[in-house]
Amino acid sequence: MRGIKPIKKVLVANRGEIAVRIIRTLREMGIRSVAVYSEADAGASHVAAADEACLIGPAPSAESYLRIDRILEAAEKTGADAVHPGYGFLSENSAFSAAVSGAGMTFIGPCPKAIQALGNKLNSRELALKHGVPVIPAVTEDKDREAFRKAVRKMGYPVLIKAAAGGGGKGMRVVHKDEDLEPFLEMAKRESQKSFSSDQVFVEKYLVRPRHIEFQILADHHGSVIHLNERECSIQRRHQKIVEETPSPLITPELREEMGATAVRLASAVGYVNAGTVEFIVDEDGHYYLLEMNTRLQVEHPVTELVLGLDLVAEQIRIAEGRPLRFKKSPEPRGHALECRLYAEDPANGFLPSPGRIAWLHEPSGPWVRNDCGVRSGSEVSSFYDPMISKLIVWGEDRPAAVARMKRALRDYAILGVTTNRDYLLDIIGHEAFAKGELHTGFVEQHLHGWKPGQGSLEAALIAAAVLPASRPGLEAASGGAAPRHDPWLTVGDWGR
Amino acid sequence: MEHRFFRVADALRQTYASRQEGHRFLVRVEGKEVEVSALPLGEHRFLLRLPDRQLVVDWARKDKEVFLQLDGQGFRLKEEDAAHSVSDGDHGDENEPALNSPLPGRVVKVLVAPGEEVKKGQPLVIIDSMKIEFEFKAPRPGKVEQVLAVEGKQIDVGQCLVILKQ
Repeated sequence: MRGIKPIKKVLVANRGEIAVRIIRTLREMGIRSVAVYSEADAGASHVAAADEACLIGPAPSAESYLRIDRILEAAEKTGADAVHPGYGFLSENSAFSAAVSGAGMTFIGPCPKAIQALGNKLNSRELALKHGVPVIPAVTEDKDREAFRKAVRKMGYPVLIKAAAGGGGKGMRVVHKDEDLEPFLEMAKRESQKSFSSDQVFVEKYLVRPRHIEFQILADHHGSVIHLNERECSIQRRHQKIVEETPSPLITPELREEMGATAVRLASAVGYVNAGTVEFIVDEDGHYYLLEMNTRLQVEHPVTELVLGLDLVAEQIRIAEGRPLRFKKSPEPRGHALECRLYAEDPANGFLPSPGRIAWLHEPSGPWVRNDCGVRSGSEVSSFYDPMISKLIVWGEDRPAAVARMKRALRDYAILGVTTNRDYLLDIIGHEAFAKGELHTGFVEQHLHGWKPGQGSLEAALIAAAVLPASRPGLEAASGGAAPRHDPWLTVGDWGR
Repeated sequence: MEHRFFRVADALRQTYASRQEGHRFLVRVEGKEVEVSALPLGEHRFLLRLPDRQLVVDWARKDKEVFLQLDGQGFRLKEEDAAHSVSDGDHGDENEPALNSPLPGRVVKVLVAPGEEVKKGQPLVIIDSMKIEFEFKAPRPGKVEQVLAVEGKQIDVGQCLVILKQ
């Protein structure tokens, strides 16, 4: 048992929408916030949102958002007594968690031991097997290549190569036939080395039409571990989630109870504390297997917040302060929540990132529409970071109502100046297979292969183009590209134009 | 009267708009003429009133690129210089001596004579198309070899108006 240590000032070791989202909760709780930023982010939304902000280095993440020493320096300088890592960057780095605690501050997340135990996919597999958590059949790499090949063949193709230290789809390869195993293995190892500084990979059975279903966990310092039901995240492109929802259209109350109990068992086994997520892959027959446990706040956490009516970041902070969980089991969920991730990328061209300046951003609004956004009109979507623009989250009293609301909100959402996946998301949400809840991780390959943006309103678009105000070359040069942006104080009379 | 060219998904489209009174415009696209109005709703938005419905249009410009969103659909158009489009976009070689009409209509006035030296951008012929007059300009400097446009005569898209030698 430990005492309660109230948190007064939190350094948010992240950027973009998640930093903004965390800072909002801090303000609501009366806790001061410190933002950190790279040279590329000096004018970013998360910097403006915080009470204080510290520059921690040049644009590349490795020289700023991944620099434990500079982040700790900023925390010390500003007198922060806690650090929230957000997701990505250092959020699942046990050395960071240890360094924060070592400096006498509170890490708003799990202890280094739990991160280590669950961070490596091979470790977590062993742990799962020990505690009766089902895992997908897999073969670990063997120096004896012939024995390894034999073992893979015995398991049966198709198989999936995965990086042991991985995440986010990097180092992953699907192999359909024996002769592809060797070259794909080498490719996956190189990718893994580059992304995670480790070339350790393993091969597992690839499930056909699988669904991604995960359980939100909350655990306190007093031994209580609960789950807050599931999220389904089966709509993915390049192994990355783009549409998430809760409840899952697949899950029955019985399966929810069983999978939830399994997730709690795994978290309890490592003495997990704070918020985490146990990810499962579920096959067509409802068999479920552990994918991994993420020891941090998930990108898609807001859908859980909307159906349960709670703030997961606030819960994380209360847990970190040493307070016991406020409930013994999940509050009863109400209605249905959906999330779409808006990216600056080109779905008609291999989802290639499309960095650049956002010339005009108009956020949707209305009842039960939430847009967690880290940019605004005039912001630069930098090629240094993830090209996610925002997460659009809606709630409806049932799934069809949530789908209709998401369609409306996506239609109202204007992000101009960069290519985005907005139209693509609209086509996913509007697809009849989506309406029926027939989801699986290959959904977009099956239903939207070769997608091109629609031209249905082209005639109206040409009419609109015909009447646009003529371009003013002088102004364009001042606000476009690398040229210095329009400074209102240089032309005071122009302000508000 | 304003005449514009937009490249959309690799196809070149032409539009004409002439401002009537207030926010009303006479617009021609894809061979159809409509009267519309465009009410500004801020710097990057306007309400487009078509004969049968109205749409909110979000728009932004980046150099020659125009970003539009309306009726739930996004468009990325590249505006092209009209003279450039006619000689380069529609008819291949920029040095092609035959200068063809980018639009159907009636020749109102011929402004040059054979043997005349012209500068780039100099008006050659005035064409009336759907009650909108527009100047057909020289895409490059040169010497007028032959004038095929005849005042008062109807012309079609692609019909040769002037032959301009380097």
